[in-house]
Amino acid sequence: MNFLNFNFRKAIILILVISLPLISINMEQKKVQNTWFTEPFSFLAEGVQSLFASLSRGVRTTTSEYVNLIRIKSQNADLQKQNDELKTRLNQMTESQNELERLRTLLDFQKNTKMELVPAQVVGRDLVPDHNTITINKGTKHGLKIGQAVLTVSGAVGYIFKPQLYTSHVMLITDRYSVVDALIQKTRAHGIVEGKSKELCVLQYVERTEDVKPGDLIVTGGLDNIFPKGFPLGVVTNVERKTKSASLVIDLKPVVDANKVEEVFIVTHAALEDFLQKPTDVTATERITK
Amino acid sequence: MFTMFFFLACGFQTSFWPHLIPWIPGPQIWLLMILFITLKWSPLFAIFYIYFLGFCLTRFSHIPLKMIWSSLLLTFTLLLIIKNRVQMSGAFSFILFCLGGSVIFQVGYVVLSQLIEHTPTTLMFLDRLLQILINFIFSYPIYFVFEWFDESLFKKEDWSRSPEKQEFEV
Repeated sequence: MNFLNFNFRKAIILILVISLPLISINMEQKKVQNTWFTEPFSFLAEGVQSLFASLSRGVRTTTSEYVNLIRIKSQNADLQKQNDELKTRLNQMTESQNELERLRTLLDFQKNTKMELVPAQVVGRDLVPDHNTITINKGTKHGLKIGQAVLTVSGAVGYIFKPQLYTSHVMLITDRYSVVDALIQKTRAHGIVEGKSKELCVLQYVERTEDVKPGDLIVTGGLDNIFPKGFPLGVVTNVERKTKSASLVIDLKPVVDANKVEEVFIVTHAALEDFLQKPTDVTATERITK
Repeated sequence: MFTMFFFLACGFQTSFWPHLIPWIPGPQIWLLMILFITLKWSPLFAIFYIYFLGFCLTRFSHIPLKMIWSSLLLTFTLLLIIKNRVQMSGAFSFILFCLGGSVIFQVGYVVLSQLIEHTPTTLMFLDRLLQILINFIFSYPIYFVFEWFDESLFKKEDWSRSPEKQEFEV
């Protein structure tokens, strides 16, 4: 039946092979690309592409997150370090600010008084708890002598009892060996303040008839030639009227907490300063009475 | 060197500790040192050295010499009596002796103050109790420091002449 001995099968395949590119060339030339038979393929391709795109995005994101995590970790360590440094600096700044304010107050006090004052820092406390003394970093080399008053802006602290070349020992008004002439500010009655314990003093030899109440301010009397007259010593916390005693026993809380004092002034020359003529710093008094 | 260490201990207690931890009293390393000397050294040498250290103490405190010497003598004597009757050695015995020594010193100080001083001290019970406890706590680590210090400073022959060793040899 095959006259020319022609292989139709091969011929059809050959035609198909040649015609398909021709058809495709023809299709390229047409404006409309999306024909009905390409759509499923396009859809499939889109799906696959989207899948891989999201997959690659995911991988990229995860990788970058991981890389970032490593970077963040090191950044975090750096920031933590910076934060610690800043916190330390802030603390230092706050401390400096406080010190500045304290020193400014001291400077103002030094400027506004007639007294000759030597500033000093507290460098030590007493070795034995039975005695209340402090050591300051100024001594005879700086003109300090035995019996000079030691005070702060708020009130009296004590007096020098053992000056050495570069340091001096100060007996606090709370020491049981300490004796200071005192006045009740309100009534002007004289008495003697003696140390009682770490935080208390006692005012003795005040007549029973005197009107003294808790909260009254006790100031220096000035007769001991140590302290200037009228400088705050303490606030009355308790008044005891013993029936058989001619005088009152008055407990005082010192205006200055000597355990917290860091800077003090030593009065080298009182120049007849009288604080009773000046308005008293009541803030310390109020603080204690509250 | 021991005196130098004593001065350092006093300086530590008066100028270093109160600036860092002002709310708790510092350990009385000087007292622990005196107790160590009482226990370890020959009594005759020890008592004179303790008197010398007592004098050094007055440089750091307003404590009168009469008070510190009498208190230390009382502590030394009582501790020596106890030591000769109790056969114990090592760190554990030291901390017990420190506890006892601190109690004797504090109680002795109050009693002697009432007898000798014109303005005697107050009881300050809690302060003293806290001080005794702190001395007791610190006595254990300090023992090893003293032991090392003592052994490295003194010759072995001197070391073996200490009363504890003498008894052991006999």
